[in-house]
Amino acid sequence: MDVAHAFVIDDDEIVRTSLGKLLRVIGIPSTGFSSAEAFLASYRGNERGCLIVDIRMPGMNGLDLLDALQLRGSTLPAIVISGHADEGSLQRLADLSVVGLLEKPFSLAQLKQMLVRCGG
Amino acid sequence: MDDTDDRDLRLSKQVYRLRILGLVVGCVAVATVLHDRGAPWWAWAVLAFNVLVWPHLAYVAALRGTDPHRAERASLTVDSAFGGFWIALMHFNLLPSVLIAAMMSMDKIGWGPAFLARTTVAMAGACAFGALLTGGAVDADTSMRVIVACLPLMTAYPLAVAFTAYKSGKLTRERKKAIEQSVALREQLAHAARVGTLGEMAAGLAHELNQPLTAMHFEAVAAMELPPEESAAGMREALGTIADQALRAGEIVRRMRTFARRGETNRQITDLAPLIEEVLALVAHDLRLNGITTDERLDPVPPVLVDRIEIQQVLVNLIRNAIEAMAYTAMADRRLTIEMRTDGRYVRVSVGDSGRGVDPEIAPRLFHPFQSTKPAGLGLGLSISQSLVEAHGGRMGTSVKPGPGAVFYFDLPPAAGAKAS
Repeated sequence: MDVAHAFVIDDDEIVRTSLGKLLRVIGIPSTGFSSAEAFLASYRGNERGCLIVDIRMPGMNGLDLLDALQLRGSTLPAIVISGHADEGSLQRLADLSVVGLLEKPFSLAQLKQMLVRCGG
Repeated sequence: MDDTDDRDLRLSKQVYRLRILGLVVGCVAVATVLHDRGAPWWAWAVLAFNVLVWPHLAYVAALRGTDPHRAERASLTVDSAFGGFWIALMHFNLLPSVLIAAMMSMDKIGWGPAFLARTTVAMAGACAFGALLTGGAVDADTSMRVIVACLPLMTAYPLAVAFTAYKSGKLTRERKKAIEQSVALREQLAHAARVGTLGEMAAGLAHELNQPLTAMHFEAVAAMELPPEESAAGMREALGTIADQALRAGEIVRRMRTFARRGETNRQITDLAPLIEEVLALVAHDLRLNGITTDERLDPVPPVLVDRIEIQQVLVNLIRNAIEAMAYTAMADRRLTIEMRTDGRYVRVSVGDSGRGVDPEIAPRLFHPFQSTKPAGLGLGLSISQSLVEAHGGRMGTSVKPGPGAVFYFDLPPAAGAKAS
């Protein structure tokens, strides 16, 4: 798992910070963003690491964010997390070459597995 | 509604006592006349019938005639004539006669204009008969003739009262049954609508419930993975978060369960402000997901006597309508406005949106059942809400103007002389 940094984008503050803690104990530094817009605003284009994005968010949702990043030529691998994924979202996930989908709540093992794919 | 019934019943009992008093005084007076004139046995029998049966019938009438105006109209004429005859029979001077007429005439309508009208009629009758009796030479035969002439009326009166009581009692019973049935039906329909609403909100609520569960899981796993030197402090912090999040999840479940509860209407003195907050928590996910800013302008208002769940249902319905109305509004312009104010007579809660607005042509039909502007709507939401508000003695409406945005409101009467519990 050689993920340099994780960008956690989730509108729920508690989930965001607790996921940050989880990443920290497995040795991955992370930055949290409360919305897709907040992440895009700080996006430089030279980020290395992995995106962890919640699908369901107010304003721009997780998939819209990935679309926008793709347009900007981003190659950041993304793990999509979701409370529940409907078929439409899954279809779009395939188009966006996302490394994987995690359904909340997911285990540490599942997270590690996804991060390995991100790093690889 | 219950309050009015109670008051009517108390008043009826009062009237009943007054009438009995009037009856006793009247009967003593008539008995004196009968005794003086040496009346035949059947005259006494009629008097006895009146004494024994009349009080019971008056009591029945007072208890059963729950529609005061109908009962009042029905007995007005008979009562007045009766009052006049009693007085005429008594040969007394006018003052106690008027007093007795007043006592007998008073109905559960209280001391209002109807009572005055009735007493006046009774007094006119008394005067007429008084003049008839005292104007000519009052001998034993004349008096006896008057008494005999009056006896059929004295008998007819309780029968009339009995008939009225029976009819109004029957009507009341039927009406009560019909009302009970419609109340039960409304409760069932409202419950079904609530369950339906919850079903529509299920995905959002599940997501909402998933958040604290996820956070708890992450906190616990992260704490377990902590290196030994950080373990103690980290554990404590994690446990704090977990405890808070467990409560958060519990609150969501409690809100859902309360909303879906089925039961008879249970009205309590309620402050509307916390109720509004509760509803906003219930729809928080829908609001957040749709990027809607909520603007609350809640004036201090007197408490109201309501069924909390039913009023929550009305509010949830209005807010969800507002959210749907803003589906095609630019994200930045989506604004929900909840206002609460009072003009003293009513407490008004209004829900405004910045959505597509309502076509003024459709506006008058908005509250009709099965009228929906939504593709998937049954068109029952507003009509159920309206019937719930009206069952609380309130009213519901909309101030529709051309252009975007709509405001829907409901008015509730403040609870009489009550403090919020």
